Amino acid sequence: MAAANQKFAIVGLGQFNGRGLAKSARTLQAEAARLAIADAGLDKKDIDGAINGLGVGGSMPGGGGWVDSFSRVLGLPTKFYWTVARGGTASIIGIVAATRALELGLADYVVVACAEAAWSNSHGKLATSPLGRGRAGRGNYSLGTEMLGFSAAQTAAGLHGFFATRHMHEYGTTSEHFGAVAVSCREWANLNPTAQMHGRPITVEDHQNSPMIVEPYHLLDCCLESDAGVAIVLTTAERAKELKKPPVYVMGLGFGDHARQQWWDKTNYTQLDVAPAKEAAFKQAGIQLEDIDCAQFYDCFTAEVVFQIEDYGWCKKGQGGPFAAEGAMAPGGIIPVNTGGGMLSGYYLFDYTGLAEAVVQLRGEGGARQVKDAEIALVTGHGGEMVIPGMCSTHACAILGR
Amino acid sequence: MAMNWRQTVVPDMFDNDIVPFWNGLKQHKFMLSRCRHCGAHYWPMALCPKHEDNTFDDMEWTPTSGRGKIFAWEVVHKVKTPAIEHELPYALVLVELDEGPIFATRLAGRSPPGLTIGLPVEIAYEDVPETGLTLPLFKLST
Ligand SMILES: [Zn+2]
Repeated sequence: MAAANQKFAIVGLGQFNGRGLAKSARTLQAEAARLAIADAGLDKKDIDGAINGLGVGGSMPGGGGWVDSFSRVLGLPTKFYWTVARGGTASIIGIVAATRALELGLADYVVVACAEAAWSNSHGKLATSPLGRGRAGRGNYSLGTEMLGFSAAQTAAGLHGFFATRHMHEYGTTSEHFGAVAVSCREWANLNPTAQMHGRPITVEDHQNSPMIVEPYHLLDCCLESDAGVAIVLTTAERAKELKKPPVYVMGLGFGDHARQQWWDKTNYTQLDVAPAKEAAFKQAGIQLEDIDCAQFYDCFTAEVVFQIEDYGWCKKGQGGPFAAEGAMAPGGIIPVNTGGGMLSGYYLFDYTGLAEAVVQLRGEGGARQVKDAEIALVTGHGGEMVIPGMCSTHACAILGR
Repeated sequence: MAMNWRQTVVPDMFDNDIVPFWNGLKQHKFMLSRCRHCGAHYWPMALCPKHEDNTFDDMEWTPTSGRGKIFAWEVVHKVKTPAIEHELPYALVLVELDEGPIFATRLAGRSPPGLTIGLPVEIAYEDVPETGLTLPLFKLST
């Protein structure tokens, strides 16, 4: 159905995750790219464009210096190598850049890759590296108030918790509602042998009993730390037809950025900037909400899932908590959400976690977690500067289809 | 010996836009950036978005009340740095200042019971002799 009139497709996917992979993020990224190229049935010599879509942009927080290129590691004969990113919207920005490059004829096959050794950074011998300090790093822009407690919170939980308390205040959402999101993702993870939390079922009671990290967030409200890599290969729809794997078409892309509303209008603390992103992406794709077979939401924390299920319109604003509690996003529910377990129970790699799972679903490679007849998938990204009160103001939306 | 986190806030962290704010704190003044056209306040410095023809010369740092209400809150129960553990649990708050902007900070001392959105709060200056700076913590108004 989606195939008509499509211009660009994802034709290769490489993904893996683990804990303690004992490699640098650069090597993991190169490995993800190598897997994606092989998955497409292409050779390294075919790849003439490379995009480094990492969560951070430019230089690393904490003065980590320049980011070395994975194309150098693999010896790819590329005509360009770009770094693009803005927090957890990195893969969708990478797709924007890649498709434009294909449209201009700058390349025939573009690889977009990302990897992090986040688990090793915080648990292993690399724990002193800049990224090992958690995701609270803010690059070089400093208001000088970070140390008033935010860095002491040391995790993104300390930056996202405010949004959860606002939603609880405005809509009566409860911690048990957030717990239902965690349980839903875990149920999916238990159908996915590659999920980090596979085989470890949880209940809302377990969620309530898990340690408080930053109230209102318990441990089980927080995404995982992972060593992980994901890469995709993109090409034109024309070329995609000749390749090994069924094409996954890029049907629509959209963005919203409500920095102004957060900082100066003091609105949008209980939602993400879904509206403009959804409008653009759905219009390009020519779809309605009911056409979507599975949603891969950015789930850094449980509340972000509640926000998005409301903001996209699967339930009324403020009803996301009860919606989750009914099991509407779980296996067998109304809309399958984060079918690989998401970042809460699968693995953490920005919006690449959801992107990779969408490709798996649309190819019909989901095994026990396969959504029947999945034709159209929604992938979202969430990112931006983590400078409170305006935090992660960007929302990105991608519609993929087969 | 781990350093007291208060001493890790040093002038080298500040970019040029925020220096006047920290200089004000040293004199126990809570400075916001104010629009000369309409009087609206901002933190940190920004160009007042309500006008089309203004410039950064139309913005000035000015002392303000240092009062506001809790806009959002959270309580930190777990940290990675052992040197901070003895301060747990402590509250982080977004304060909606009486002058308008939202200011992110930490409540002095341990988290008070019954934190809720809308509670009045005020500046609680904390001088740090080792650095010569003053930290803009907040406390519940009595
Ligand atoms: Zn003005």
